[in-house]
Amino acid sequence: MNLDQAFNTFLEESRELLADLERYLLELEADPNDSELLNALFRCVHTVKGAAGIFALDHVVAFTHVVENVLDRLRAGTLGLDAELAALLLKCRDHIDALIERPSADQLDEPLRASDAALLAALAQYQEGGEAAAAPVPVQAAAPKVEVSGGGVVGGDTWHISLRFAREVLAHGMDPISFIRYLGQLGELRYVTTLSDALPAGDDFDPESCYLGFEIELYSEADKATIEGVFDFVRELCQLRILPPRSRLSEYMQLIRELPEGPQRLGEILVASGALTEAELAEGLRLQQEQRQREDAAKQPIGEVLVAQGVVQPELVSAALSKQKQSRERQAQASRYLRVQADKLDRLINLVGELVIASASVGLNAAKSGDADTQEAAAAMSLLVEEIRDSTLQLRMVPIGETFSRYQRVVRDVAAELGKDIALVISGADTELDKSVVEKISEPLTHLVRNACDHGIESAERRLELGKPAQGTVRLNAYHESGAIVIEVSDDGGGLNAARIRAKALERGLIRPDQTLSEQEIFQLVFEPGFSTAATVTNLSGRGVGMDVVKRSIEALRGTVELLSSPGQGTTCRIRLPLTLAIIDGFLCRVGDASYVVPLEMVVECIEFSASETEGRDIINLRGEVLPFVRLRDYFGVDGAVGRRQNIIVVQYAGQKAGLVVDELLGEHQTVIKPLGPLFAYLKGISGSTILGNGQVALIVDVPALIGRLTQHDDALAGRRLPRTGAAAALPAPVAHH
Amino acid sequence: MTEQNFVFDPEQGRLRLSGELTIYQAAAAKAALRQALEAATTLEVDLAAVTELDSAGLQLLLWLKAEGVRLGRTVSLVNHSEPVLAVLTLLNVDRALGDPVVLSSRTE
Repeated sequence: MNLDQAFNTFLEESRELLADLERYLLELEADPNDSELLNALFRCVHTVKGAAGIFALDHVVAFTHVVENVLDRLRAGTLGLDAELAALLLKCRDHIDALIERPSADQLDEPLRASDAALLAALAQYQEGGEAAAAPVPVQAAAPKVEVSGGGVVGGDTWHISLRFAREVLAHGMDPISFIRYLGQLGELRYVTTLSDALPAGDDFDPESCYLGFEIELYSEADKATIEGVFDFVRELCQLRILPPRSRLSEYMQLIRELPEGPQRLGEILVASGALTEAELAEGLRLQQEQRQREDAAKQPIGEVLVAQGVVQPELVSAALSKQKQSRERQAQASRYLRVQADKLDRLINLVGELVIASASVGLNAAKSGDADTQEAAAAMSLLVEEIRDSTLQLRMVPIGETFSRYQRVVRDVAAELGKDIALVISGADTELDKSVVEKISEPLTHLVRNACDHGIESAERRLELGKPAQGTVRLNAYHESGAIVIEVSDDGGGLNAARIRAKALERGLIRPDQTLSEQEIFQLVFEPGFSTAATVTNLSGRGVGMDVVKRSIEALRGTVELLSSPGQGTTCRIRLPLTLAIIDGFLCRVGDASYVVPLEMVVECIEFSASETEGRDIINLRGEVLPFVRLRDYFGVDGAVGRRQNIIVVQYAGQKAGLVVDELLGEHQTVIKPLGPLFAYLKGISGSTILGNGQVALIVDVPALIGRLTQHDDALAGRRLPRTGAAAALPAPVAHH
Repeated sequence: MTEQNFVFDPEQGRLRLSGELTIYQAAAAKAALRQALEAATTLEVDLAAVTELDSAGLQLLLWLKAEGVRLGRTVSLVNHSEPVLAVLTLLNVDRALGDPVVLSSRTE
C-alpha cells in the first residue's frame, strides 16, 4: 500500500462515515434526544477530523473542528436539535464531503471558499457563547540536540526509545498504545515501561487528555529512520528520543536530563528495563556532574542533528488509519451484514440439496462407466459440491451469544423485582446454530432463565444461612455434541425436591401411588401441563404455565429437554437441539430391499452381529458394556432376504448408546433431508427421507427416538415385536410417554 | 454500537465495567469511577466484560489506583478480561496496578 492508496482508503472511509452521519441526522429528526445517535454523530465527525489530521488536510480539520464543537454541545444537551440546525448540519456534511477531496486549502475554488465562510458563520451562532472556532491545537516541537559523547559504550543490543505524548494526542483520534503495538512489528519489544507520573490527582485529571509516557527497549534490525517513521503521525504530538543500540553512556545521561521525570526516577527505569546497569548509571551520574561543571565554564551546544524527516512509510499510514477504521467498523457493524430474505436462502439451500443429489447420481454413473477421467471429474465435482453445501449451511448459522447476552437484562430485571442478587454467567457464546432455531429457542430460554431466578435461587438471607455466597449465579452454557447443540441453563440454588414433585404429581393425578419412578422420571413430571411446585405464586412464574410450554417448543424443534438437580447444589436444565435441518452426512445401510440412512455423526462404530451370542435377548456384550439393540428388520417390518452377515451399527445420542441391526453396510452418503409429509408426522423412528443417486428413496432413522425407546422402555419393547406388514407407513402409533 | 456500562453496587463495593473502555467512554467512565470511589471504602472493579482498552482507558485505571491511595481507599481490579490483560502486559503496567491477574492458558 502506498500513500495514494492510503489516501484513497481515507477518502472511502470518510465518505462512508459521512453517509452514516447523514443517516444518523435523519434518524435524529424523528427522535432528537436519542443520546446514542448523538454520540454516533459526534464520533463520525471526530473520526473524520482525526484522519484528516493524519493527511495534513488542515482546512478539513479546521472546519470539522467547528462542526464537532456544535455536535459536542448537542451531545452535552446544552443545545437542542431543531429542523434548522439539522438542515445546517446536513449542508456541513456535504461541505466536508467536498473538502476532503482537496489535498490542500490552496486548491479550494471560489464557491467552496464562499460556502466555507457561510457555513462557519451559520455555525458560529451555535458555538458556545457564539464564539468563533477554537484555534488549531498548538504544536509542540522538540529539537533534539546532540553533544560530544563522553564515557564508554553502554546498553545492550536494543534501541532505547523514550516517548512522551502531548495532552492532545487522544483528542486527535490517536491512541499511543497502537503506536507501541506497531513498533512491536519492527522487532521485539524487550521491555516497555509505562510512565504515569504526569497523571494529575483528583479532578484535575482530564480523562480525554493523555498523560502517558513510555520508555521502550526494542530489539530490531530496522534503522533509525524506520523507527522514527513509526511516530511520523504523532511527531508533533510527542517528544521522541531514540538511542541506537550500544549508545554511549553520555547519550543516556543526556536523555535522562531532558525528560521531565527527573534523573532519580529515570535512572531507576533504565536500570529496571535493562538499558543500563547500576554501575553504568552511577558512572553516568558522576560524569554528568563533571560535565555540568565544564558547561558552566563554557556553554556551547555542539550541533544539531538533522533527522530525516517526512519519510512516510505506507505501513504506517495504514497503522494510523486502523484507529479510524476500527471506530468506523464499530459504528457500521450493522451495515457489514447483508440482509437477505430468508426464503431466498431457503431456496438456495433447497437447490444445493438437489445439487448434492444430482452429484451423487453423476458419481454413481461415472463409477458404472468405468472411465477413469469421468470418475476423476466426478470426484472433483463432488468435493466442490460438499464445500458449497457446507458454506451454504454456514450462511444460516449464527453464534448463540447474541441471544444469550439478552438475558443479562432479563436476569437484572427479575433479580430487582425479587429483591435477589443474581449474576448471569455466560459461556460458549461462540457456539453456532441455525438462525431459525435461535429465534425459536429464545422464548423457552426466557422461561427457563426466569424460572432459575425465581424458583432456583434462594433469597440472600437463606443463601447466607446455608453458607453460600449471597449472590446467586445463573449460568447459560452452550456447546456442540455429536451433531446437536446443547444449551444449559443452570442455577446454584436449592435444587429440585423430588419428594415434593412426587407428592404434587399424586395430588394432580399425574401418577398412580403405586408407580415407582426414577429421580429423572420424577423431574420430568415438572414438564407436565399445569404443574408447579412453587409454594407462592409470584408475578413472574409459578402459575403453572411455562415448563410444559417450554417442553413443547423444544420438541417442535426436534429437541429434547432434561433436568438435572442435586439438592442444595442447584438445578441444570439441559436442552439438546439438532444443529441444522437440511443436509447431513449420513451412513447408508440396507435392511431387506430398503435403504436406510443413519446420521453419521451419531454413528460410533460398526460391529458384526452374530445371533448366537445374544441368546435370544436384545442385548449384546460390547467389550464389557451392555448394549441394547433393535433389529431394524423387525422394527420396520421389512421383507426380503436376511443378509448372510448382519451388522450392528452402534449409535450414540445424549450419552446413551444403542445398536441397530442391519443387513448390509453401504458406507457414507451425503443426505439431503426431505421432510415427510404431514401424513407421516406422527411416525416415530423415522425423521425424514432422502433420495439416493439412483433415484431410490431412503428413510432417515430417527436415532434419538429409537434410543429413547430402547433405554426407557427396555422391558416393554421385548414383548412388543412389530407385526411384519411390509410397509413402513403401517407402523403402530407411538408408545405414549409419561 | 456498544452500550457503555458502569454498574455500581454500593453494598458490595463492586463496580462492574463492561463494553469498551476507550476515549469515547472516558468522560462517563471517570464520573462513574469518581462516584464509586466516593461511595465505597473498599472498591472492587470488575473488568471481566471490558472488550477494549485504549490509552485513555488505561489512564483511567492508573488514575483510579492513584486516587484510591490518595483518598485512603482500597481499590482492586479483578477479573481482567483478555483485551485488558493484553494491554497491561504489553505495557508492563500490571505490576504498577498491583492486582493479581489470572493468566489465561488459552492461546488466541
